[in-house]
Amino acid sequence: MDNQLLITYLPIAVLLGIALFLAVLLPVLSLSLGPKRPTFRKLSPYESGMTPIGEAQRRLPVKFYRIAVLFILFDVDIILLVPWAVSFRRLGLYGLAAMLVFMFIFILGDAWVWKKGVLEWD
Amino acid sequence: MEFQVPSLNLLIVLPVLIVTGWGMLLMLAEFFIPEEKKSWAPWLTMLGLVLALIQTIGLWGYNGGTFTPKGGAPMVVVDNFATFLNIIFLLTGILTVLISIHYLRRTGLDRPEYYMLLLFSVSGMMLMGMANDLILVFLALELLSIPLYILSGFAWPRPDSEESAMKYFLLGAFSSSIFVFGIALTYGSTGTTSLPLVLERISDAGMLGLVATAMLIVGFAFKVAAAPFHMWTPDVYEGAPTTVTAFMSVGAKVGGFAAMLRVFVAALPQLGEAWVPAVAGVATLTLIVGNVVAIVQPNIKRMLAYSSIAHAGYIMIAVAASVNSPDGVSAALFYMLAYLFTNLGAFAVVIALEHKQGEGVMLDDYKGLGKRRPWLALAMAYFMLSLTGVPPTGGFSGKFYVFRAAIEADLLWLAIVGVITSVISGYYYLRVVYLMYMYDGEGEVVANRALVWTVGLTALATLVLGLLPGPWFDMARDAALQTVQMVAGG
Amino acid sequence: MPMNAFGLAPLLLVFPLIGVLFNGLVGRRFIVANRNTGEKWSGWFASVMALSAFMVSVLLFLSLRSHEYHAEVVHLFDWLAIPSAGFRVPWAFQIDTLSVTMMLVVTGVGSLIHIYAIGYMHGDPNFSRFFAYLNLFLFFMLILVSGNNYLMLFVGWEGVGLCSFLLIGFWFDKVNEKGEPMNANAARKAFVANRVGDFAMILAMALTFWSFGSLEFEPVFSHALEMFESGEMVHFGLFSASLGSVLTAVTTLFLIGATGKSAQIPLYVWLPDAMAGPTPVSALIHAATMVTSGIYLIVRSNVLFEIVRASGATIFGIVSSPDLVAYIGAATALLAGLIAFTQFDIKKVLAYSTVSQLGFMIAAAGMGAYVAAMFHLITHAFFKALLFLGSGSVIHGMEHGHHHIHAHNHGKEVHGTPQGDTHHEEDNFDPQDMRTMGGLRYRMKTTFIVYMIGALALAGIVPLAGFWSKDEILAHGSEHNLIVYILLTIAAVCTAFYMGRQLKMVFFGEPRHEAAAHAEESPAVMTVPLMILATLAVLGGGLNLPFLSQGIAETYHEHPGGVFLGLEGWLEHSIAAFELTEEGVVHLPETPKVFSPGVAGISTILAVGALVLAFYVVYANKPKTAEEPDPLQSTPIWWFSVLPLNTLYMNYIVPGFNRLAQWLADKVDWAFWHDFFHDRIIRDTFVGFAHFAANILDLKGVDGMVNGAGSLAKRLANWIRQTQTGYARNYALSIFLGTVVLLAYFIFMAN
Repeated sequence: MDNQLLITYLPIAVLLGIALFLAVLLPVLSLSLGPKRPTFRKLSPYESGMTPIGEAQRRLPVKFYRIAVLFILFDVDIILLVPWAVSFRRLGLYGLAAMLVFMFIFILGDAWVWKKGVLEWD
Repeated sequence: MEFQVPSLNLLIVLPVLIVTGWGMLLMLAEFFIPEEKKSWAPWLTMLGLVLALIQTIGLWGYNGGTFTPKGGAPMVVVDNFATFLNIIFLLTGILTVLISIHYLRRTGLDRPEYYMLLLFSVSGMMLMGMANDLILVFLALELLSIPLYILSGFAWPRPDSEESAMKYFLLGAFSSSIFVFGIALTYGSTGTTSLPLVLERISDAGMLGLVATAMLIVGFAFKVAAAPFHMWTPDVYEGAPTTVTAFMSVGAKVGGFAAMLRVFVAALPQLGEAWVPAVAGVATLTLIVGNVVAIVQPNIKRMLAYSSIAHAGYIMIAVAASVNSPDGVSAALFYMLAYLFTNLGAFAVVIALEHKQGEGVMLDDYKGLGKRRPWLALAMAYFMLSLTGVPPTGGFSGKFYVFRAAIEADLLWLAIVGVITSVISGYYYLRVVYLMYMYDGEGEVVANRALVWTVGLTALATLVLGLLPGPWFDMARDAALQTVQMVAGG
Repeated sequence: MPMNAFGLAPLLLVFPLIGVLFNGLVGRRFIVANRNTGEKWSGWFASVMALSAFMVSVLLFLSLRSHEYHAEVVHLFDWLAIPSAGFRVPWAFQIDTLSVTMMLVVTGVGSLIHIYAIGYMHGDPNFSRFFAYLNLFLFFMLILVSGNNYLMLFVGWEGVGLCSFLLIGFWFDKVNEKGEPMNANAARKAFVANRVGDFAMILAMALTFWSFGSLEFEPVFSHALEMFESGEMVHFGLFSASLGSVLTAVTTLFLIGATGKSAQIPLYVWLPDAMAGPTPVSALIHAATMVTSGIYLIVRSNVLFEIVRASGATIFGIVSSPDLVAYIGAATALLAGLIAFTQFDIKKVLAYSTVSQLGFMIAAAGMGAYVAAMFHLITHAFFKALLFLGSGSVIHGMEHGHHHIHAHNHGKEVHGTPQGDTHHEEDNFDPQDMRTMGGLRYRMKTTFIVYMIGALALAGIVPLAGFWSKDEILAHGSEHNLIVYILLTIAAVCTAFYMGRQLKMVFFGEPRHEAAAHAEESPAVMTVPLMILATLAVLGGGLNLPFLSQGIAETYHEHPGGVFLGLEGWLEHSIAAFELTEEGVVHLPETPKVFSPGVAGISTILAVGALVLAFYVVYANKPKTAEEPDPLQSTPIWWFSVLPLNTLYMNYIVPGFNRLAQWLADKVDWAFWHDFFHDRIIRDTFVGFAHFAANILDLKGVDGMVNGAGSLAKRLANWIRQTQTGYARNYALSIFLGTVVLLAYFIFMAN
């Protein structure tokens, strides 16, 4: 069964192989066959003459990342809470206890974060 | 579909609960302990670890599982295998705390989060040995790793520490994703993630099962630093604070092997024909790379990093032997016990010499240690001999059992590779001895009482394991049999 | 939980072997790099290996105790096996009380001597070679005592012979006044004399295998006993012989082997010359351990000897082989004791004394007093090692004193004061000549005290170790063999006399040479082992105290062992003849279990008398100067030095051998054989090969291989290291490629 499953993918594998082969072959060919006459102008980033100043990537203050990470935590919290709320009755006391433990740990972390001053912007 | 409350037996997860709870308690307590009493943190941590250790030792001989869904297998199990490993993890934690106290103070890293993270990581390791479900294995793996990512970067704003944390995190995430993919494929091919059920169904899983196995190997091999998934090791070990390196080199490695043994021996023995040669191949490559590259390292932390890679190779031999030899698992367990003491002892000496952060970690700093601190040098020489595997040391006994298991499992060639690479390893381990005794040199050595105690205790333990390995190996055998029996029973 | 460390037995051999490898391969490099630390490494490494072997022996001892002394055979692998011929020799260890006793002595005394040698060999250019040999010796000696078959015993037997040869000739470049390489000659003499014994050993083994179909101790002994009980004949193809006569041959051949290794008449001639080796070697090999292997062999084969005794078989109707053993031992004890009178070299006196004491042991074994023999072996190991090491300390001190005055005089000469006479004397100065010593008790206090203890123990003074062990032998003799008893008693008197003479000459009176006046005490690394050995020499007798009276004996009747006769209770379990006595198959001559005041009184009075005679009569005031002749030389006992077989060896055997060689050489074409065959073919080939070995194999090959392996590993390391770029992306790539390879492999496996 598995073999059949694989065989159905064979054309894709062949295609992948060809693509990979060409992808390697063409740059190698152009590198080895093409003439190279590098000059200063040719080597500069923009032949128009502008020299780039500064870094291409701007650095953002780490504060944003902190908030983003906290957001993800709450996100996960909600993702867990919603399905639990939906099937609250079926899960019963056990579900409630488990969720309380989870919430306790979560709130403990929040308290720690708060106390450490992560939520202060300046 | 009716929801069934899973069976609960919190007693058997009590050690983990203690460690995790203790970590959270420390988190809270930090706000209430006045500034001048912050120095209590390590001792409080130690108290928690010792409590957990006592509880763990009490569980020796106990077999049981918990979080068992109706009609399924338990998610968490406790047997001698897990207990034996938990003892190793808790000892690692205790010894790490001992070597950290003074080091953190003198390098200005003394922040209470350190000990919390340590506790969380230890709890992750403990779950690695107890996990009986691939999902839990993954969770434990992450619980073990994430604190380590932070701890490697604990020496900020030193750039190499940050670099090490970043690399470790990126590559760890990368390998974790492969690992999760492996779990997913296992689930796809067998319809379960529970190890006993995987065992029942894996022989019908066909190709997908094998692909999953390959990916699981990658995940574990990354964690235990086996070639070619080892590249992060030297950089991370060098950049991380030395105490963290010590902790990682033992804890993370043993944690990886704990879950690897559990998964491969308890759930995938039927695929042994396929994965044993693969693991043996990885072991060979690891042994060669680790032992050979260690020769040219001028930095002792890097050297020990490659050394730890090499030792992962030796344990891998035991893993490869564990399907066809009854003593494979116990040899691995014994080896890890001996490795725990030897390696932590060696790192304790390294820490004694690292008088300032990042200084005193070159091999040249060991010149003349034999004259300056004869006892410390003697201990270091002994640890180096143990790492080489010269009798009468724990390292020798460990290698002896591993090679014997390999021969029993018809992997004679692998044992030969192990012996040859051990001989090569003498080259760089004995160079430390040579430098310590054959040259004159100077340099500050900071050895406070806790550190000296650690060195003494680990040296003593290494000696005991070298002179009287029998009873300890019998213990390891007790611990291993459970796993194999579970296979038979499952 | 009963202790079980039997599995550790192979480590006994592993430890010394590691020491050999360390000192043989890299020890020298350490010393070249840094003389002092290197010596420490080399010496202590070897010592620690010896101590580790000792620890293993102790563990084996404890295991035996907790297993109620049951012998254990630790089987490693089949060594030689020819199934079609039923020939099978395993490589297995016999762990029983007898072999463990030997192991403890060998490794215990050996460890002390290793440590001592660190001090004694200090500054020797071949320091690490020495320790490599010492460890090699331990290795072979442990094979000898731990093997469970005669072939392993023989491997060890040959190995220790080789080590003895290497170590006697350790300073092989030393020459005497005539320019003869005397140390090398002494080594060769030892080797050749031992070959005779070894040949007998090979014959004995062949005969044993032929008769009993095995070389392992257990099957041979039980088979022999079965045959003895059933009265079966031994069949050799068409012939057959009675068991008694076959075993007479075997045991006689064993005896010849023992006379070689344990230096008995007629092969003892090599032992005095063997003193040319370094003193620790004399103590370890030629006093405490190797030379006792003959006794071990006889005690180990006790069943065979006792069967011969019980069967009444004799050699040509004259004497039975156990009796022959006893007579040879007693005669050697007396003869060597007498020769010791005439010696002036401090070590030669001890050498003859060793021969004499070995005679005591052999005689005891021959009389069936196996426990007494082993007891004397142990105590002798203690005090003779002590005496040798003490004499080494004396020699060391004398050399120091000599250096001292030499430097002193040198200083004077610079100032223009000629030192005619003393200068001349210094060139011939022999630090081992007792005539140049005297009065050392003030200069070397520790050495004096421990030497005194050793000498008194050897002389058999109550309550030192030697008294008890010697007395047990004498008591046994007085009950079973009067001739041997009388010979041994006289030998004991001689012992006391020559030791008194030596003590007086070395330590008492006035210094007879400037070197003695300036002698210095040896360092602690030498004196501490001496003190330990001295303690053992004092307390060693406690190993096997006889019951002091019949009453105590009866009280303890049910429980032999404990304080009294501990060694006997221990060895009982491996000297098979004991058990056989109980079953009434063969009769072991019983050693008196109760202290016999008569025998002890006589020997004590005689020993004290001889000591007094030496101290206060013969050597009371003489010699006063180094040149004065020995007072004994005026008495007509000079012929002792003529009588011994040394002369026989030099006058008849050597020339006889030479004549035989000459005769053979003359019979073949001299020109062809010597010029062509020897010079052209053998010598040139050999020289060519030696060149090849030295220049190509050693320099380029072995050194090249060592260095080459190192540099190859380094090159490989540097090459692999290139992949360690430091970029996380490359690391991820490596993980990815690894995953791909693994996946490919598994998919390949699936199909």
